[in-house]
Amino acid sequence: MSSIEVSHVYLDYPLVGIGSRSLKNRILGAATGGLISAGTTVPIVSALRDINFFLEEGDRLGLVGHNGAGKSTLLKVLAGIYQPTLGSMRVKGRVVSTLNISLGMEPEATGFENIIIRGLLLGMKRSEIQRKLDGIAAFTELGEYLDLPVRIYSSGMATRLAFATVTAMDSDILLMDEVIGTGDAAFTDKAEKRLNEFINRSKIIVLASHADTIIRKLCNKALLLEHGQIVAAGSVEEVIGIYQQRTELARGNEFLSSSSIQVNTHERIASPQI
Amino acid sequence: MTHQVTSHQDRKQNDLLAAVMAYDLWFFLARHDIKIKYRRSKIGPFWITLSMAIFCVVLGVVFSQLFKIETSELLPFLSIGLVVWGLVASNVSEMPNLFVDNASYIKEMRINPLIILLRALTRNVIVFGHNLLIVLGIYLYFGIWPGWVGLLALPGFFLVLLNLAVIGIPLSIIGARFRDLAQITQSILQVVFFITPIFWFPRLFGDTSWVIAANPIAYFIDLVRSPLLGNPPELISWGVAVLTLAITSLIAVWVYRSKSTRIVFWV
Repeated sequence: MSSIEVSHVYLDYPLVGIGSRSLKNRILGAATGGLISAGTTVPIVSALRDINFFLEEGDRLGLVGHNGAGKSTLLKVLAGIYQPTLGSMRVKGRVVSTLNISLGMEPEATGFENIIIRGLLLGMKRSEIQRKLDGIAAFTELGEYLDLPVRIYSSGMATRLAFATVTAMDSDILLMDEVIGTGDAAFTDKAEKRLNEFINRSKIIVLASHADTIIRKLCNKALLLEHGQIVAAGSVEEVIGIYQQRTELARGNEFLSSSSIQVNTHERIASPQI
Repeated sequence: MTHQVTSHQDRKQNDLLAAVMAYDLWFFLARHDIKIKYRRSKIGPFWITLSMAIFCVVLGVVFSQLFKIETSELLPFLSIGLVVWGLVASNVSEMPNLFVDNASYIKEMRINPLIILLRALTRNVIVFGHNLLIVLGIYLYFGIWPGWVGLLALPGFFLVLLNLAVIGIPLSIIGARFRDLAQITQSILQVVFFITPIFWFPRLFGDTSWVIAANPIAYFIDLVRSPLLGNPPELISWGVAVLTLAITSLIAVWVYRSKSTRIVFWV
């Protein structure tokens, strides 16, 4: 049984700037009684605050909210990239995240090698990858290019490879930041079919998207995030309704006083800490 | 695969075991790094071996003249010492930038930081394996054979390797936070090279010099070099290597437990 249980998760994100990057200055600062300590404070952004939800098999959760609301951060917490600062999280099942599929490719490695590396990174065994290798290779339609280093691929070819590899995985839990695609017209139908199969195979999906239509199409639950907090949770229609309402409200406010957004972002940066 | 996170006391206990168990991954990646070197040039990592060999011969000939020592005594000592030094130095100098160089992995997927470390360590060990050709050349040229004592180099080598792996943990984590650690390490290594008995014999210094006594790398090198030259290593070398391992392990555990989850915010 796959499930995700998130309770009271907080995430504080330190913004380490250039000023606090030097160990030498830090030591000198300590030796001289903090005279050279300028710029060593690290501001903390509280990126997620008190997030609670529970997902079980069959749940398809859509995350909605503005840029910077915490959607991607929440996905990264679920993927295990960020550890929550406070609170607890239980994730049961194999997690596959497609947060940025083209990153983490080895440019010098061939297409085939990159498929293997990606598979290993996602926690597959060599035998499992070998079984899928031919299928992935056939889907990419890259032919002999797969024996050449990825460095010489066009960006479209690289995306195809990444897309084919990641969608070949068997995931219990699928985390997506915007729907992945290949951006290749002739390839689109084929890709969409494969993506749908991939999505249907996954037992739980968490999808962050700006496009209401995609959330409506793929999800059966939704969360609205604002400034790192859950503002609304429930059925897709309900949450998107609230989101649109609040967006319009915010626009109205903006019209009245353009500083309201700035005040809000200011609140989110807690007092400087080291 | 199941992961469970309860804020602070999370997966760290299992990270080490999990990293070792993922040998499929780091071994493949390390071998891949070497394969790339071969793809770029026909002799691959042997370029390092070649430049090291030239360095050994030139330094060996010059210093044997300078110190009035037989080349046949200095050159084997120097070459094997330098090969071991190469492993230690390449590892230590690589560690502070390790996570910065692998930022694309760390930021985009859940990856055990220790896997990245093991990849680098394994790659350096494979390069070291290439450099052992120099040792073989020395054996053939000077007609030396260490005999059974030579086998003592193996446990010594593993002890050195463990030390390198463990010291890599705090170095890589602190290096991700403080970017000048790489330069600091680099300068320290440069100085340490000269105070390590590689191209001079410890006996030239007299026994009371603290400069040699306080340098753990001198003991690491002795652990591997002496057996390869047919002598058992000094007892104190074993002692120091075990002691540094114990101390650095404590530091590594402390740094890893308190800071490993922050790496992703720093790179």
